[in-house]
Amino acid sequence: MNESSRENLSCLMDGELDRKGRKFLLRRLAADADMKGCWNRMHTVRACLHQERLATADLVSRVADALEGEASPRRSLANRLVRPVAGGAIAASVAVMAIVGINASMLEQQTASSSSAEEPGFVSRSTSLDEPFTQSAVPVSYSEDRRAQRQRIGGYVLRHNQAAGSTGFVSWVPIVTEMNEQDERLQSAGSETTPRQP
Amino acid sequence: MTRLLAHPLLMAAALVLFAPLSRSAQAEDSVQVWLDRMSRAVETLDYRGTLVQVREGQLNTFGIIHRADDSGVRERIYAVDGSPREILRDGDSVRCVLPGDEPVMLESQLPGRLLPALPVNRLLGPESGYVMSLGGRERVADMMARIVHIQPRDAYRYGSRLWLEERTGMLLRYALIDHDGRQLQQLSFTSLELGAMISDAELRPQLVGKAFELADLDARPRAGRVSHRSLPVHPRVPRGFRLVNAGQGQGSEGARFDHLLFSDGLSSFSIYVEPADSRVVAGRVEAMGPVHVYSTQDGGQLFTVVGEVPAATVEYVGRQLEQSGRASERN
Repeated sequence: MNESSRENLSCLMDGELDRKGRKFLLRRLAADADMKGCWNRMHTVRACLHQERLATADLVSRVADALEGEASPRRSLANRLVRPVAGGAIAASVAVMAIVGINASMLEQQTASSSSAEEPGFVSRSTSLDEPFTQSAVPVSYSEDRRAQRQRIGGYVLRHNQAAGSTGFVSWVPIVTEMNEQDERLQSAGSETTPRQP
Repeated sequence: MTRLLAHPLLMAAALVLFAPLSRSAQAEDSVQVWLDRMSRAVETLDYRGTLVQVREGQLNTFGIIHRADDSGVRERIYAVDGSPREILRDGDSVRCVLPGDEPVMLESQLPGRLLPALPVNRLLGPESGYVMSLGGRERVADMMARIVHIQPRDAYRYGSRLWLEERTGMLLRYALIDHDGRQLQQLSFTSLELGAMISDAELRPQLVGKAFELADLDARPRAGRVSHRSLPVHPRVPRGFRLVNAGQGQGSEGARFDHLLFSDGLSSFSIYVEPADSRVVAGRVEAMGPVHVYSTQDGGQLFTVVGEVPAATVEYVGRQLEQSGRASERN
């Protein structure tokens, strides 16, 4: 696979291709195993950079712990020395496979959806190439422990409208509406926080 | 060139070739006139009206009272149905009461808008993110209106259709549309009294709640004098958007934040940057109707991207901020 194809894949991942280019590349990707491998590797790297490394590390340790705790027959000295290392390696492989597997299945979903009948686009909807890493937009909703966040975001929206000198009611009315809906849809959002790895 | 055009045949050919271009420029020029009239009318006229909002099959009704005099603009927008809600604008201050068991009163103080006047050349030029045209006439709220079409050129901004009252340019109906021309929401006056006498009593707040205030820390707006060096972040943004202002504010807990305002002339979004603990918070897109919010925490900073733009726009900017945060951590 040449440098240009790699660059195209990178653009696809960053959402920088237009609709036509995206469609073309996804079709090519579905048929080219080499390219598919590269795509998976890029996603693995990106997943690691994108905090999913935390999930991976957790998965590694959980699998390692499970292997460690497993009742085992009598082992030779060499086996006893090798086992923990092998356990970690297997766990790591499982974790990497989990990510690659997820991304491969998402790629298939993307390909299937991109080859489906032309559907009118919707700007608020994420594009197909964003799906592996993009949650769809959810209505702003706040549980009791997110009250501070509710106030912070509400305040920022007000300030943004002031700063932009928004055209009267056009910008203010939806805010009044949505702030009512927030309360009705309360409790749906969980915490998205993840402790940083040391 | 002058000598060439002096030839009658060449002159005729030039007229045929350039006529459509000139017609299109004229159309956009007149759109600009209508948009200017609308901006002035919406802010400077006194009016009282009932407005309906239709979105995702839901219908909401609001009352609007607006007065502009020597002391500035005062406006009260309140929900007629559902739980009581209202927004009050009084000069440089805007206040919104959120309903609930413990109502919260959000208040923001900002001395004047930070967005400079619409840069006409950018809105009408080839680098504009929109195609604008004048449409036909229609009757709205018992008044004749002229329709203006604003179609976005890409999916990073919304477009709109505006119904503007013929005599004053007042906005009577507004439809928000996406890149594919689909209508996302519509606001329309069902009754409107232009030039109404508005009393102080009508503009008084009817709701109260626990106060949460955002204050501006800048002595004056810094439009046109934004020093890029002093900015906390330099993210890549979708084509057509430019940094138009930067400022600083303070939340009710005393926390300071940086505020960067980006605009393409019609659509805009803000980036807020504030100190945070060292946790990593996965990026998340939230929606308040057409307003989208992307929040992410990285590198000891909390980024919030807010704007009446598609989710794709705030997410694009949010991801750029995450990437630049990681890059600065590595360096």
